[in-house]
Amino acid sequence: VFGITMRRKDEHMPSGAIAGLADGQHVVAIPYGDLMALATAVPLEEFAPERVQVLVKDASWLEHLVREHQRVVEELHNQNTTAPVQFCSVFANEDDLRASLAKDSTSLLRILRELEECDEFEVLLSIEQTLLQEHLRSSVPGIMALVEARKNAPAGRAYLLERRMSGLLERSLGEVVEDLAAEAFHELRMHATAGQTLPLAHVPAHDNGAIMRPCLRAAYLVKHAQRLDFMASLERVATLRPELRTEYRGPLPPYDFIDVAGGAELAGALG
Amino acid sequence: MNTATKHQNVTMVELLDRVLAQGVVLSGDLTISVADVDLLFVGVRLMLVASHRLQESPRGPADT
Repeated sequence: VFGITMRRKDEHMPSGAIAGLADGQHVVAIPYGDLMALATAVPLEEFAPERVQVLVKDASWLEHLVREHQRVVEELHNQNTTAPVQFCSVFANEDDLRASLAKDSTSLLRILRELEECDEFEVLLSIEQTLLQEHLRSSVPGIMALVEARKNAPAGRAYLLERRMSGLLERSLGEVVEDLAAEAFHELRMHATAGQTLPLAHVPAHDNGAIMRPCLRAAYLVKHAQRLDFMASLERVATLRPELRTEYRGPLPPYDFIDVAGGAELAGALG
Repeated sequence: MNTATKHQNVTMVELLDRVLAQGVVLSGDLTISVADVDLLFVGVRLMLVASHRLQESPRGPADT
């Protein structure tokens, strides 16, 4: 199962059927009440726990399957608001799937109503660390004073001044990054239905070799009608500082706004 | 002037985190339970993270 969507009147997939995972299989809609599960047939024996245990060790099998799964979820979401279902959700038959929809229908309907006409955008901000340090060395009075004092200091004192300067530089850098993250988050949040910060991830060095320091990673739920404003806001964020690099992913299916731990509950931060 | 750029490359680790750790968890008679899925993929994820870090290391795998 790739995802759940609201039941359409025609109960069929739109024209331009989406290819499933197995050869010749397409995504089909399996209705229950006001819901439709979007799924495809796969060889059942391939998804038995013992078999999967062996197959996941095959990196090419896994990568192909995960990327194909994601492709299908994105194509489905592009056609109609879709709540993505956790990877590897396989039922032995349609009746078992319908029984599951029956059990979770209230919360699934609530999620879909909340997500209606929404996409997710993930925003990643990082700072070119060396550039920002250079700026701070020439603009923060405390650091500037230490730089001056170090110039003519004897070796031992120069070492101590250098250490003090490094500490002050790191603190100033942290403050700039924190303020910038808060400003950017709120600027973007104003043009989104919901937003939440995500754990910072390692940012690889820039193409020019510069060390990049992660600043903000956040997900936003953006209604179709808000998208232009959100994108304009993203461009404003990109110009907040010359050392800032602003990247985004999206539109994506709204993965970050579904709380798996709650069992088909919408994550907080809405409204 | 800086502009926002669309990030195209999604690593396998990021993708796996997304499709496994997020999304609706359906209840009922699945062929693999949620706990099984977690157990099956935790080792794979660790392996991918380790391999990803080795690739990024400026010193390369031989020096680690």
